[in-house]
Parts: sequence; C-alpha cells; structure tokens
Amino acid sequence: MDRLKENKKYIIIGLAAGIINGLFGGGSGLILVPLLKRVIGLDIKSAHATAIAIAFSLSVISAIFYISGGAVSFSDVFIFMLGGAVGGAVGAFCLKKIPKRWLHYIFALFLIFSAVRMLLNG
Amino acid sequence: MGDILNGIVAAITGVLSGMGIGGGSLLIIILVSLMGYNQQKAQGINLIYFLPTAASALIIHLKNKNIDKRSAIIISLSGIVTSAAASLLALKMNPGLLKKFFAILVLIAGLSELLRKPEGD
Repeated sequence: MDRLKENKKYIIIGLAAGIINGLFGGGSGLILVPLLKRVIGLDIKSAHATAIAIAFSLSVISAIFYISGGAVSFSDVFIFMLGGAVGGAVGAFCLKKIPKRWLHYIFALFLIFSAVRMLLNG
Repeated sequence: MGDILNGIVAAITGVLSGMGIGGGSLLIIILVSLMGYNQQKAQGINLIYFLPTAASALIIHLKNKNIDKRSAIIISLSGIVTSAAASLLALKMNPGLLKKFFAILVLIAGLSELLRKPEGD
C-alpha cells in the first residue's frame, strides 16, 4: 500500500509535466525541478539532471506529434540549432565572468514584461 | 536575411541556456512576440531545438550518475501519456488562445525566478 502511494506521487508529477510539455512545447522543468526537490527529496544537482532526462523523453513524444501534425519541420529548426550551439558554447564560457544574480533579475523582469504584453496584445 | 536573424536569436538564447538560465521560454517569446511566428510553430521549433542540447547534457549527467533512475522512469512513462494528448490539443487550439495560456506560464516563470533564493549558483 505504501509502495502504491509512493508511486502515485511520481505518476501525478509525470501527468502534470506532460501536460505542460505538450501544451507549450517545453517548460516542464519549471515544475519538475521544484517538485523533484520538495516532493521526491532529490538534491539540487540530481533534481536538475533528472528533470532534463524527463523533459527529454516528453519532448521526443511531443516533437513527434508537432512534426506529424505539420506545425514544424526539421528544416525550420536547423538554423536555430546552429546558432544555439555557438551561443551555448559562449554562454558556458561566460558563466563565471558575469554576475549571475543580476542576470536572473533582468531575465525575470523580461519574462514578466513579455507575459503582460502577450496578455494585453492580441 | 531571415536565416541570419534566426541564427542570431538562437545564439542569444543559447548563451543564456549555456549559463543555466531558461533559454526555452525565451526562444518561444522572441519568435512569437518579436518575429511574428505562429505560436504552435514556435513551440515546435523549441521542442526540436531542445533535443540535441538535452541529449549532450544527459550523457554527462549519466556518466556522473546524477540522474535518479526511479523518478526518471516512472515520471517519464506517465508524462508521455499526457504530453501526447496535450500536443494534440495544442495543435488544434486557436493560436491566439494558446498564446494567452503560454503568457500565463511565462508570468508564473518570471515571478518564481524573481522570488527564487539564489541558492546553489
């Protein structure tokens, strides 16, 4: 009985993460990392790593549906991957050189600003 | 010209992702709000864009044994069911309405980022 109850937590987290991933094409990490930490009890490092593993499986499934549904094709994405690879390397290199805390605040404000703009405009 | 702009956008989000700051939401926001992409297409681009980056991170995490296998397996298996259903729903939804729902997710992400304690940085 305890075992079932224990698995129930994992299953519910999965159902919620799947909804976000499929509906928004990403963003499941937003709930996975805190839930893996608080509900499952993982430390920060494994919560992040495990969230990436889960988001990867979910994104493979969602991507199959988005591609077969005609929303996107591989050729749309190629140029983004190229730019992303270059940018990712630069970002990893700059990691220690830029005060991360301020960057987080700027990023947070940008998200809030964008959200309000998207809600107000059509 | 469009390709160059797309590449620059991807590079900027890539820089932030490489620094561990959520690049995914940023890519969708820029594509939809600034470049006029359809919401579903932007989300599809983000999904495929994420895969190789995540795969390379996963290899390192697997080597370092950072992944909790039980969580990864059970949560992935149950999540696959709803991600398939939610993808089908997203594809059928009016792009404007989907954009509003996405905006709510971004708002929550922004607020939680703002309130988050800078632990483990």
